[in-house]
Amino acid sequence: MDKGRLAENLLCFAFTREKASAVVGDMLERSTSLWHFWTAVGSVLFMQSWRWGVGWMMAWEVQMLWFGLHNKLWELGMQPFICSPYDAIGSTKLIHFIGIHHLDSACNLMCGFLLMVSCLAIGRYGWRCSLVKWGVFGAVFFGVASFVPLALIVGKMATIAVCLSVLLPLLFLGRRTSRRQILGLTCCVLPIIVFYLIMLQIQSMQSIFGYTTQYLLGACFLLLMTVSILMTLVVESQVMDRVRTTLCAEPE
Amino acid sequence: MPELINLGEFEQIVLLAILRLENDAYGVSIRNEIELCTERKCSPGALYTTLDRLEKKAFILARLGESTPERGGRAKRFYKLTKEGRSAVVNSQRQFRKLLQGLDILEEKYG
Repeated sequence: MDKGRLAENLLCFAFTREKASAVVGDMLERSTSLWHFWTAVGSVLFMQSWRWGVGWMMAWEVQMLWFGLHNKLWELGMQPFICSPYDAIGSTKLIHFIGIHHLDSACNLMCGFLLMVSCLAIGRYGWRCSLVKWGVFGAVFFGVASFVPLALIVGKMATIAVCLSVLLPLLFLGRRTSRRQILGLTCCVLPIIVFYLIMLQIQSMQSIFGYTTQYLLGACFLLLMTVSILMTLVVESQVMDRVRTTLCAEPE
Repeated sequence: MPELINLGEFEQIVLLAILRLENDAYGVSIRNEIELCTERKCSPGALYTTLDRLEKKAFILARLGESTPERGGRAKRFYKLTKEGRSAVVNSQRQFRKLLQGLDILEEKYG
């Protein structure tokens, strides 16, 4: 199979056969090297993939990496400087007044939410959209806030206050939002909230039910994630058209 | 006041490039035109995603053209603006013009 045919088949996941063929033709006409050709194909697939919900899945992964990073730094002896990974995912073992013990998880929640918003914005408006910049900026800000130990509560509260006052108006008032986007956001945000609630419960239930419960809850989370991805696919109904186009494409 | 459809910055650039190219607007020429006029790199991902989106919004229409050997025998896909597309780009430019009225910033020299 020549590179043009292979690229065309790959691009059929993003476009109709006719469109994919024209895109590959353009790339063959313009690209001089194999490297340029495949980076161009990758770039198109990558940009289109944000619109199918793959970007959302990647944001999930970033969230998981965030927890992992907390964990690693904790193991490396950074305890005096950062909160523990368990605090970052909502442990209830620390301060138990006025709900402050949820601040770390709230920060992570916002971080994940903003990453998702950024991913959506990339798919909708492209990289240069200001919503992407603010989304990523906010995600980093909240991420940093989640690292601040709860002992430095004033610093944490100040960071969160700045984030909320700057970002929320930008997020909800700055751009027009379609009903489909709102539904899409709900689809991806709801499972995160449920996930965090589950994680909170795991911390308190582990001693009673042991690891079985943890595994069961993990399975529930996976199920939720699957449902979330499926809902995303339904929201982006064009994906179904593309799948149909690809499946119904004539064999080579 | 009738509701105006706002275009994104890159959407406007793509539509204007198609307008400039008249009957020769296809992927490669649009990308070249954008890079020439704006002096900025235009990633194929951004361009084809935007063209796809503009087509779905019915701002542009595509027709298949001739195929050439350097394209591996694949047909070009030519684009032209629809009435809605033209109206959207004109509205966007009018907004800019209104905002620029009374300002001399285009005459000023920077850097």
